[in-house]
Amino acid sequence: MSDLCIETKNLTKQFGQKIALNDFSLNIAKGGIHAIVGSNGAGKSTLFRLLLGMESPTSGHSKLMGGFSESLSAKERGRIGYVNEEHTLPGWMKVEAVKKLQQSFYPQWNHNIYNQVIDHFDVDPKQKVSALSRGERAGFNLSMSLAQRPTLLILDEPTLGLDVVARQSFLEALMFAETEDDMTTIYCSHQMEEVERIAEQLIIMEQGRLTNNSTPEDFCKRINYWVTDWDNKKPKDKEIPGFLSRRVIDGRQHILTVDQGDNFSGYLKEQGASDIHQLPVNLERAVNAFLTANHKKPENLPEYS
Amino acid sequence: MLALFKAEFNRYRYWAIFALVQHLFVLSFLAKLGPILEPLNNEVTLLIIVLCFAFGFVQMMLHKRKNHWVFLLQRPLDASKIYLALALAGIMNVLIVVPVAWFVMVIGFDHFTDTIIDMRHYSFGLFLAAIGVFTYLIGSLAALSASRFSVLTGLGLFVVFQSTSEYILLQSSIALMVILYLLYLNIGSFKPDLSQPLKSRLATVMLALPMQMMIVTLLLLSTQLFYHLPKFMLTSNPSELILEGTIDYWQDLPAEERVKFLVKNSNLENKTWLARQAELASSGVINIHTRRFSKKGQYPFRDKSFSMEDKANNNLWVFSHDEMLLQGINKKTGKVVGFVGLNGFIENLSTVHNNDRFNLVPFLLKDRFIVTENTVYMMDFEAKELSVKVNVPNGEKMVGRPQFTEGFVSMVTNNYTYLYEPADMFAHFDLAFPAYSLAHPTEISQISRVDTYAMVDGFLLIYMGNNYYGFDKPGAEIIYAKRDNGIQNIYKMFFEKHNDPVLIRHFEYLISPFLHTLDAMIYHTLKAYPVEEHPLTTVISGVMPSLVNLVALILHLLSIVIVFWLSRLINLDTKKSRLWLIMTGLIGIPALLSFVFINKVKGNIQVKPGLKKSVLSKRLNSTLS
Repeated sequence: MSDLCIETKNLTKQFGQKIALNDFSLNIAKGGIHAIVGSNGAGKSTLFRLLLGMESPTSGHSKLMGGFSESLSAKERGRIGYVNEEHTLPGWMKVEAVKKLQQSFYPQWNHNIYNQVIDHFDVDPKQKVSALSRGERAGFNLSMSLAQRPTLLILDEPTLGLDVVARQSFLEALMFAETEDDMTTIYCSHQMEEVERIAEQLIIMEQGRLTNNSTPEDFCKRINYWVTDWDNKKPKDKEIPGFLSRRVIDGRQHILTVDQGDNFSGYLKEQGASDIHQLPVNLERAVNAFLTANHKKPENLPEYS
Repeated sequence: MLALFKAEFNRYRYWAIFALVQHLFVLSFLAKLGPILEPLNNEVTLLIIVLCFAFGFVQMMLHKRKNHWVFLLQRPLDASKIYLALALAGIMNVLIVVPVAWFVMVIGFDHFTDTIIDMRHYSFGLFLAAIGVFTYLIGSLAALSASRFSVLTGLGLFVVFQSTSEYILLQSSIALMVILYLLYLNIGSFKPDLSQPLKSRLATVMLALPMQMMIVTLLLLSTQLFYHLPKFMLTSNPSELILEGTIDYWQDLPAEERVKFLVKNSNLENKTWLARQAELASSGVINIHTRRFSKKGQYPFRDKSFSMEDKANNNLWVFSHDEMLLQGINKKTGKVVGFVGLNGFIENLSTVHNNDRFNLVPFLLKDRFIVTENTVYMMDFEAKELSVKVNVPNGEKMVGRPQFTEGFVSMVTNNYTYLYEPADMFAHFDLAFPAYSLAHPTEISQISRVDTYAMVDGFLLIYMGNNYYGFDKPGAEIIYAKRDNGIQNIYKMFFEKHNDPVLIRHFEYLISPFLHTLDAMIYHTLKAYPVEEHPLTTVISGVMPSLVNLVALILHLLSIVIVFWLSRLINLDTKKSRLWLIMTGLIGIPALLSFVFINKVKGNIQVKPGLKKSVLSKRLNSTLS
């Protein structure tokens, strides 16, 4: 029995000329909450669709809980919960009817978990799903997914479009629900404060590639924040090793780099920098800088100075 | 599965009830305009076909939306069971709309009007239901299949489905088989990754074969574009499109000029006289292949043409399939006034014997004639008597109904054409004898039509057909039937010239000799339409011109090579490649095209890993796009 919950090897998915996933290899161990972050178009949703067998890879393969994604059995599917950003549920049905429908498929359905989670939201069982607010629908969706007692729960940007209150309720419900100990949660989100609160492992995807798979703390250690003064002979951005971003605040240069150790201050000195300070960086800033560094820009955009 | 079925059924149940009410409204409205049970209400059937197709398509497209699809599939239930739950719910809704409305109408007619309602009218409701389910499944397949050309498969099956067989059991069995066929294809297509072609080889063949039959039809239509349209555009005068000296040219001539054209190069001594006489004579046409006798319970029903009106007594006599008798109903009171069987009038059903009942549904003509395969009866409503007007000689049987024209009445049997004086036919109680008995000059299957000219001393008849002197040998033959001087075959005309080149004339065969033969065999088995026009023997007897066979062979070989090359290009697995090569070996170009459609060759060439974009593949992509 594999210890891996998710395993992808050289997974590539191409849509026409566009490569959505490029030679993507990822191993996720069982248990814990794993956050996947990436800018729009990084390939996160494609990855989930490939994992669930809803698309076939152009090359490579993926496994979910030891079984190949393309041939998941009904039993294996029953162990996977999936919540998408649209909270797609049958809008023509009443809440109670949808619950009954889902419940009928899962013999291990846990009423306590369902009630625990749904209590965070103001959902009337007699209401039609289409009449629920986005937040209520998200809560209802989550409560059903957790009540199924899945071994693997995939949450694909579940708080997208939710207001602060609904987002708060969603996270509380997710964190405090009595879920199975060995449940693995894959949480995909753009909200760094959510990731910071719940994620035990941080996976970053960029342009269909895996660029980080570590704990959030380890990731933050990779990002260095330097504040310095510089004369006019400062190097160009692309000449700075591991350069992520630069801003000028009160006449001082604020530079973020990746994978540059303490020796980087030596480099800065060599380049004419003075009054060099290294500051700590929070996860949100680190991830944002990491993601925006490779963001596509017009070629002739002037450097920020 | 049951829970999913219920949820899906409930989703559409109000729509179904709404559509049922609308359907009833349409049928009631049509009933006001005319008798709804005849002819088979094509407008309503067409509406059923369109709506059921649309329903199947929309239902599955709604589920196919990305996140909805994951929600649907991501549950501990096999994909096949999920599909069955959805499809059964859809079918239940179709059944609410289609047959229920029909049954309501038929029951209404049966109980509240004097219309004769047979079991076949009720069972036709089931056939309508089958049409609804069938088209629903085509819609569903069109939405689910990885190949958008699967709609061609649906159309190909529809051609088989709608062919009216004279055997009701055969027709029902075909309907059921075709529905199961489509269900199997739908289940195969309903899989998590909808972009992938069918996995099973059997399903691949099942998807491809009807598609290939439709491809043949489309290729045939394409001759309009690459041959007929350019020909039309390059010709200054449209009349030049038909070449002089061809049978088409001759048939296009006015009736009075046809004899002149035929005999102008003959050695007949009296050709000028014949031509002049034909010019002055009144002309007519005897159709050889008319509608055949219907069998008990056969669809479609045209009840009006199987009824006679006794105006003097205000009675309507309609043929009842259930009784295989004519049943008379008083139009005013709605009461049954009696029955007519092979042995005459019958007061009530309790006195009917089996030998009174008709074997086939007779034609009812001119409000007095009852025509069976062997006998023409004449009714006298006043005297309540049935007299025999014509007895077909032993060993012969009528191939269609008698044709009443101005100067004569014609009857065509399998061996003879008989011409009767109208006065003889309408004379009471007397047996009518033919004025002329003309043995068919060739096989009846080779005759398409007979032109008649009433001469001063008899009839001039021109037998003709595109295969009159054998396969692809059009011709005509003039026969002079003189009143006193017997029958003379006076001239034979061979049309050596053809309007279109041989490769266009036999284009269907050229595309795929196998499918051409299969098509003929299917229709022969179904006896679906006048098969005489498509004699099986011409297909399999090897009479095709050698050029056609040669080109067909070259196209076959070329198709095999291209399929082999394409299957390598898209890395198709060995078993599937072998299957496609065998299919292409049998079927030719249609198999090649269906290979491209089903395996989405264009897309797969672009995305296959490790594939270097050679100049060749780039060129192929630009060709395909």
